[in-house]
Amino acid sequence: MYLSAQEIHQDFHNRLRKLQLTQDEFIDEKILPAKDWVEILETQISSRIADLYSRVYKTRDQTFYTISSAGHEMMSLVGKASRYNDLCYAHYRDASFYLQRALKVHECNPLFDLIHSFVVSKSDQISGGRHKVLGNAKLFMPPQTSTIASHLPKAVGSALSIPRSKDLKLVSYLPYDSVVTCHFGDATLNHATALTAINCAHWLSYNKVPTPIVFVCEDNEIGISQKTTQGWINEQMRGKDPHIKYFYVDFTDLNLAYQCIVNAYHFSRKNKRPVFLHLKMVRLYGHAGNDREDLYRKKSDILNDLAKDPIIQLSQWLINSKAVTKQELVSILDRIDQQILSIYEKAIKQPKLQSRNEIMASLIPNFKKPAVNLVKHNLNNYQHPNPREQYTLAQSLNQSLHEILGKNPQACLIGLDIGKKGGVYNITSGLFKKFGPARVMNAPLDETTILGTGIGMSLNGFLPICEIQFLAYYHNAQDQIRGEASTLSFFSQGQFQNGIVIRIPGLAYQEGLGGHFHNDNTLSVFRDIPAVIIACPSNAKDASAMLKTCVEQAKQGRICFFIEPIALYHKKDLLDEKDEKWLFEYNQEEIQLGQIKVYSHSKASDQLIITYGNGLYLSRQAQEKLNERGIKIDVIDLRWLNCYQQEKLVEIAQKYKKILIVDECREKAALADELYRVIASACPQSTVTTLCSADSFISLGPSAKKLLVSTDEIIERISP
Amino acid sequence: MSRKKRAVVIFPGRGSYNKSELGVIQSHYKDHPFLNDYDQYKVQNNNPTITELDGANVFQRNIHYHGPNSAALIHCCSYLDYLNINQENYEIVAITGNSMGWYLACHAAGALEDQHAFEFIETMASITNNPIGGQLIYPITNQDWIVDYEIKQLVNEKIDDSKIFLSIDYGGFYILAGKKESLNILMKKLPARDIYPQILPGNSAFHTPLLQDAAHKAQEIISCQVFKAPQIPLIDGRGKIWSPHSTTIEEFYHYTTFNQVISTYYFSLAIQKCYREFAPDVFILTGPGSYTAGAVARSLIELNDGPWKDKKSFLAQQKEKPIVLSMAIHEQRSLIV
Repeated sequence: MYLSAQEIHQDFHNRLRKLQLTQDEFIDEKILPAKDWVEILETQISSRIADLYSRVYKTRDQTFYTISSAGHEMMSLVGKASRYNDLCYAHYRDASFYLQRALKVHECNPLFDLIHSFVVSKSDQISGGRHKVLGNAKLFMPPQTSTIASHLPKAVGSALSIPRSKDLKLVSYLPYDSVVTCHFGDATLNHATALTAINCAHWLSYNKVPTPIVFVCEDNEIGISQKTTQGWINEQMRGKDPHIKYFYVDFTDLNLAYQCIVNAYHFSRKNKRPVFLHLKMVRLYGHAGNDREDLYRKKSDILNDLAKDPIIQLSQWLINSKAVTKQELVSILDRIDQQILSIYEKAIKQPKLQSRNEIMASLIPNFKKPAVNLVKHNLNNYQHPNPREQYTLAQSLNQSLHEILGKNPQACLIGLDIGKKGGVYNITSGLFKKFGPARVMNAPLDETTILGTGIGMSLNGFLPICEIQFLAYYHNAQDQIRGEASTLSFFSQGQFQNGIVIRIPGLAYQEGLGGHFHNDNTLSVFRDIPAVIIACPSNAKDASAMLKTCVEQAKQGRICFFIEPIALYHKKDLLDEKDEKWLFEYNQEEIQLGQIKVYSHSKASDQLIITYGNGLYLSRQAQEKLNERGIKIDVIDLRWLNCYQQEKLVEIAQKYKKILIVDECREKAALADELYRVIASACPQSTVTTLCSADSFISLGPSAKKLLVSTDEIIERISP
Repeated sequence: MSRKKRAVVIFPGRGSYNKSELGVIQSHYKDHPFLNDYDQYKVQNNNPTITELDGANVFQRNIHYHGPNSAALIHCCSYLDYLNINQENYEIVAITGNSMGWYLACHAAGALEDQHAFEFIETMASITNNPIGGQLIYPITNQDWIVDYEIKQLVNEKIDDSKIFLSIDYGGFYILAGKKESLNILMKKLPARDIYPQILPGNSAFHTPLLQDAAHKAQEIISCQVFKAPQIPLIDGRGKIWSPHSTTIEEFYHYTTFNQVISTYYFSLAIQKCYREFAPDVFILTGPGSYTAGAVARSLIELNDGPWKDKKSFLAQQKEKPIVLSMAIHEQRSLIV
C-alpha cells in the first residue's frame, strides 16, 4: 500500500487521465457559472501538484515541509465565496484556498509564493524563508502556522474589532463590512484554545455583541493517526445554534455546497454574528510526507478516502456537465504540472537565509512598511493633573491610563472586573465611566480570551491594553503571546503587527492577600520570548512614564509586558510610617526604552546593588539605613528586565568593588542568573554576588516572608 | 533530446515602428500569406496597405504615425514574428503585451481570429486617433536601472492630484497622462533627468478615465461575439492571468474594450507575473523595434529575485545566457526563428 512520492504523483495523473463521461449532470449557472468551476478545478490541481512535488523534492532535501492540502482542495470554494479582504487565519491545509483567494488580487503570485515557502527561499514574500506559512498582506492573511487552534481566540478579537471600529469611527485596517474567516481541523476543535474561542464567540453573540466571524472546520475525520468520533463535531456545535449559526456541507452536491458556503458568509456578514461552517473533507496521503498511514489505518479506509478525492470528484462532475472535455482536462493537468515543476526548478536554486542576523532581522517589526495602517488621531481628551500632587504607584497608573485613553482613540482596555469596579486594585477606576464600555471592556473570566481578543483587535489597528488579574493567571494563556503575538513579525517580516500592552499585577510581598496565586514571583514565562519588552516599575514616577513608553512601543508593533508589583501599589512610606517617601509626582514624560536609573548618595561609594521592582524598594530601605551608619551604597533600578541598557550597566558596574544583585524572584527562575553572567564577566575586579528568594511556591500568611528577600538580608550582605 | 525552452512572448505597444523600422516587414516576410491577407483587408477599406507603408522610400510622420497605419504596421510585424518562432525549440507558455500590445497578444493567443483582429485593432486605433489629452514619459530608475524610490514617491504625489494619471507603468519609466494643459504644468514641475520628462507626440491619454467616451464607443462598435477564449494563457495589464479553459468571454471582452482603456496598464507587473508564475527560460520580444526589451529588463531587476541586481549584472547575464530575446535584433532573432 505504501507509495513513494513519485508513485503518488503518477497515480494522481493516471486517475485524472482515466476519467470518462459517465452520466449527464448539470451545473447551476445561477449559483456559479461553469467557467468559474473550471477555474476552481485549475486551482485545486495546482494545489495538489505543488504538494506532490514538495514530497518529490523532499526526497532530495530540497523542500522542508510536506504537510499537504491533499483532500482539502474544496477549500477553494471558500476562497471563492469569501472576499479577499475578509481577514483570514488559515489552516495549514489551505493551499487551494490561498491560490483561489489570490486570483482576486492580480498583483499576487500565488504559485510562486506557495513553492517558495516550501523551499524556504528568501524570496518567500511573507516569511522571507523563516517558515512554511500561508500568509500574504495583500490578501489580508496573517501568516499562520498553528496546529493547536491558538489562532482562534485572536480571530474572535479581530471579528469583534470590525463593528467596534465602525462604532468608534476609527480608520481601521479591515473594512467595516468584512468578516473574519478562521480555519482549523476537526481534531483541533478539542483544544482548549478552540473551546475558549468558541465560548467567547458564543458569549458575545448571546450578549448581542456584533461579532462577524466564520469558523471553518475542515473535518477530515482524523487527527494524525486518531480517528475523530463519528458525529463529534456536530455534537459539539449544534447546541450552540442559533448563537453560533451552524452550516454543514458534505460536497455530495457541488451546486448546493457552493450555495451553502456563500450563504454562511452572507449570514455572518449581514447579521454580524458567528457562524460555524462544518466542511466534510478527506485527508489523502497521510498526515505528512513521512507519515506511513498504512501502519495505523486499514487499507480499505485509505482506499475509501482516495475514492473521495475531491479533485477527481470535481473533474468527473465537470466532464459530465460538459464544462470540460476529457482532453481539455488532460491539457489543464499537463500545463499546470509543467508550470509548477518549472517554478520549483527555479525556486530550489534561490538563496536561503544565511546568517543569524538575517534570520533575526524580522523579530522586531519593520516600521517602514507596515501593512496595517494604525489609526490616525489628533484627539487630546486629557489634561495633566496638578504637578505638585503626590501619587502612589496605583494612582499614577490610573492617571496614566486616563492620559493614554484620552490621547489615543484606538486605545482600549480589556480585562476582568476592570469596568465599573475599576479592577481589583482600582487601577482602572473611573475609566469605564469616562470612556464607556466600547473602550473599557469587561471580558469573560478567561485569560486566553483576554489576550486573544487583544491581539486580534490590535491587528485591526486598535491599541489594546489588556489586564491579567494576577501573574499566576497568565500561565494558562501564555501561548497567545508565545505562539501567536510574538511570532507575527518574525513570520511576516514585520508586514503584520499586533502591538499590545499587557498589564500584569504580580510578584510577592503582598500583606493583605496571600498565597501562591496572588504572589507568584517568577518572570521566566516572559523572559524566554524573543523580542518582547518587559517593564517593571518600582515607583509612581516611573510607572506612569514607563506605561506611556510601552504604549508608544505597542503602536509600533511591539509586545509589552508591564509587570506591576502589587505590594508597591499603595505604598506611601519608605522607612517610617507617614514619611511619605514613596509618593511621587506624576511624570508627564516617557522614559526611554531600556533606560536604567541610578540612586546614589555620594560618589564615594564602592558598593552597588542592581535590582528592580520590590527589590528596588527593599534596597532603597537598606541604602537609607546603611547611610545612617555611614556606609554608602548605590542602587540601580533596571526598570526594563530584558532590554535594559546593558553597556551602560556594565560601564557603571565596573567602578564598584562589590556588586550585589538583588532579585525578588525565586532562585532558579531569577533574572539574577543573567545579570551575574553579564556583570561578573565584565567586572573581573569586582566581587559579584546574588541574593534571590527561595526556590519555592509562596505560602499563605506571615510565613511567606521566610521565603523572600528582605531588607535585613540585603543589609547583612552589604555589611556583615 | 533536450526539452523545449519555456518562452513568454511579449508584444510591443505604440511607437515601436519608427523610421529605422521602415522595410522590416518586407525584408523578413515578403509575400507571406498573412501579410497578403492584411493588405487585402486594407484595400477593402480603402486604406494604405502594409506593403505600401512598409515599402515606402521615405518615412512620413503624418502617414506612418497615423493611428490605424502605425497600429497595423506594428501588429503585422509582431504577429509575423510570432508565427516565425521556432516551436520545435520553444514552448510558448504565456503571452503578454504592452498597452496596444495587449490587442496583439489577444490575437496571438487565439482570442481573436485574423479578420477580427484586423478590424478590432483598426477600430481601436481610429477611435483614439484624434488625441484626447496626451502622455509624457519619465524615468523612475537610476542609471543602474534600480528604482529610485524618492523619485517614484515624488511622481506618485503628482498623480494624486487627480489631473494627472499613471497611464503605463513601463519597466523603469512612468508614462503619465492627462489633459494637455495639466501635462504642460507637470513638465515644469518634474525635475529634469537626462532628456526627461518628454512628451510623447501624437499620443492620447491612454489608459486613463479621459478615454471613457472612447471606451464606450469601442463597446458600441465591437461585439463580444468576436472574442474567444485564449488558447495560451494571457497576462493582462493588471497581472491577471486569462487561462484557456476558464476564461469568461464577457469579462474578457469588457476588460479589453473598456477596463484597460480607462485604467493604468501595469506592464511591469505583467512581466513580473509572467516571470514568477510561469518560470520561463526566456522572454521573446516580437518586433518591430527592441526598445521594450529595456522595460522588460528593468521590470525583472525590480523583482530582486533573479540573477540580476542592476543594469550591469543584467547585461552580463544577457551575454552569457540571455533572458530577453528581441526579434528586432539580428543575433537574437537567429536564436528564435
